[in-house]
Amino acid sequence: MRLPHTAFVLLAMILAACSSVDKDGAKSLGLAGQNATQALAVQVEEAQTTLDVLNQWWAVRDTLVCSNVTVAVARRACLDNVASASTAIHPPALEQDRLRLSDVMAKRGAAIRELNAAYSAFVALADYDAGRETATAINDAFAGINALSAAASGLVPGGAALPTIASSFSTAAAGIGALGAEQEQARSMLAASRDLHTAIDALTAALRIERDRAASESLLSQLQGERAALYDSAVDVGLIAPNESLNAFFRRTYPDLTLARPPEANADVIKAAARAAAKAELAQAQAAILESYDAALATLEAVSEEHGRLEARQPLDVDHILGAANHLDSVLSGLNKKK
Amino acid sequence: MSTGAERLAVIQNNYNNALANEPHDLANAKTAEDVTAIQANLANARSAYYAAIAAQLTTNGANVETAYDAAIAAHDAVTKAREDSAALAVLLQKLSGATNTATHLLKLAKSVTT
Repeated sequence: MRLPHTAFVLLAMILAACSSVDKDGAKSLGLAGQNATQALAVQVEEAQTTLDVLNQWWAVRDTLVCSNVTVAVARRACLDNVASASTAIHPPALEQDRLRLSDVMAKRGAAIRELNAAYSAFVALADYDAGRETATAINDAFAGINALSAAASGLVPGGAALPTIASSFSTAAAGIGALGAEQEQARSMLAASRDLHTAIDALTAALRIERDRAASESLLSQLQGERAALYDSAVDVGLIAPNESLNAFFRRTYPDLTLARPPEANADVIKAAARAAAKAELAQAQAAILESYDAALATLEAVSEEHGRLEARQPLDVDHILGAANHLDSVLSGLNKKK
Repeated sequence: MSTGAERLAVIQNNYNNALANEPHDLANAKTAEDVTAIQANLANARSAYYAAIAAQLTTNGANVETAYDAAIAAHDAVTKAREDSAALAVLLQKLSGATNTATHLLKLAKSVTT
């Protein structure tokens, strides 16, 4: 049977409607995914950087605190113990655990970076105007999304790798018109969304489980504490003038202020005030880090829900995504100001 | 019933207390043995904390309720010893008790997960 031309057009329009996706919503979804994975990646990478130098921090801090020992023989023993290979002072398991944690953070960081790159690719895919641009743009976007597959198993121990997206677009796109390209783009976006959805769920599930979340938050907070302990030891021994930290503290409230050199008789008071300021800043930094970790996870969960809507061909709740993403932005902005 | 976060917090507090108090404890030390005991206490507490974190991030959780209760009791003893300005020898004994409990907690965690 031969259908009239208008019937072909009508059929094509129905097919296009069935396969259409909310591209603007998808772009917001992709940008929120990018932001959340970026925030997590930065935290994980900073943790790894600190873990990599932590043994140096400990060596310096543990040596500096020997200045507190006033009896000469005991003071010598204090310094010798830090410099020695004594297992009582340097438990071998500690170094092994430090390296294990650094390795965990490195793998987690690599996987989150791949996910971040995949979301960039997804945004490019949503941005692509199928009616005007070439198939190359979509294929470039897929290269990023497919790179995620290899790294996905790093998100969770024993996690399954994702199937790569077999793009049929490159072969099909050459001879098709704008309408066909639109359909292919929608199909491609849905395939990409499903893979990202799987990856983001794997990541949030891994980070949300109680033991992982408790350990991750504890570690992020403790690494700030290690930094503060190193700083305190340098202040105590006289390497860092207590005025230094108080300068920064007062300038936040009175930006144009120049502090005077305090009389020597007040040195103990200045040191105590510097310690109090450092302690308050540490508590603030620790709270902000935990808040940003939670905000990043909340954004990932919002992104996951919207992936579900996209795949069900429903309009996306852009306010839902933006609400989570904006909260994350404001937390990160506050955190950066505290650094 | 304690949560994993609470158990970690006990081990972390033990380490942070050792870290914060070490300068003061060292200032009271009179002999090389005192110094070594104080430094070993910090090293054990540090090792217990990072081992607990590594165990949590790389293996399954563990049931460590009994040791957790003991760790709480040990911490209370150390806090009280400091508040009472106890003699260094008494303090070292309490410190060692707290760290040994944290290490015991960790061993239990590992024994269940490996």
